[in-house]
Amino acid sequence: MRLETHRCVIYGSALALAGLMAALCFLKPGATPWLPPCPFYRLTGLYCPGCGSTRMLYFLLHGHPWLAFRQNPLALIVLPAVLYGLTRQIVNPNSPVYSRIPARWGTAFLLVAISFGVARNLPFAPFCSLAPGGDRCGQSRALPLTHR
Amino acid sequence: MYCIQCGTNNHDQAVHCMQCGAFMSQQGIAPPTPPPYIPQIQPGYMQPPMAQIPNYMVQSVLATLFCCLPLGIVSIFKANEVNRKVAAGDYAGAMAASKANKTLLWVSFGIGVVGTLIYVVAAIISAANS
Repeated sequence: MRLETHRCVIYGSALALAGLMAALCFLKPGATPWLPPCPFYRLTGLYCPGCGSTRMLYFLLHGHPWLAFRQNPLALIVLPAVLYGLTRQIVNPNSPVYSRIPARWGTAFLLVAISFGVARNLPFAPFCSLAPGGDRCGQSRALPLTHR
Repeated sequence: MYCIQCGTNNHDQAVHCMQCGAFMSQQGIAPPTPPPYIPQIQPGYMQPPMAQIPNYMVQSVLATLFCCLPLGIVSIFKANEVNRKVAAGDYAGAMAASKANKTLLWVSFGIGVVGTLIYVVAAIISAANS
């Protein structure tokens, strides 16, 4: 394992997330060319497990936790664990963050993420509430930001 | 049996060396210790201990949730594979999975950056034309 590329992965991902959060303080998703819509959604018309995460961060940073939750509940729930893991990796790049979690927990998370991705595409209640902003329940017009 | 002090060949049951008088008991002779295992370290590379093999789970979740790519799901699977192989004691397998995940993450990151740039350039061109 090359030490340099290992640190690049850690610092690069931390900088990318920090950069995105800094950009979201000034830019509004859907109102700027600098935050492109998800190419997966563009190509397939389907919501992936990460759809709405940028808007989730936007609402969170602007003090609307409930709107953030509606955009992507999974990303909001996982965000504290990601921030904790990134912080530990930056403090000590050799710290084995989450590498001792039993594999069945990892498999469980994988299944949750995939099921979430499938469920939020189902066009009927209660699953349509999991779509970004509850789009497929016909509530998208009530939200400030609509999915493009 | 050879004396550890002077090297004289003594009788196997001798208690003292007949040449120098040194104590010849088996207890006095330290068993040869095997040299400690030192992994071959190539310059610029490091071999982390088993427990420190990175699984990049944090980055895999980031790629899944913020890169909007199904590739991130594969990354989480790879990160989990690292954990599974570390638990099974498979050092080489865990390292291979860790490296594979790192490569996957770079690909995700590259697609994300290039995709954003293409979109931004396309948006600027279309804005300039209208």
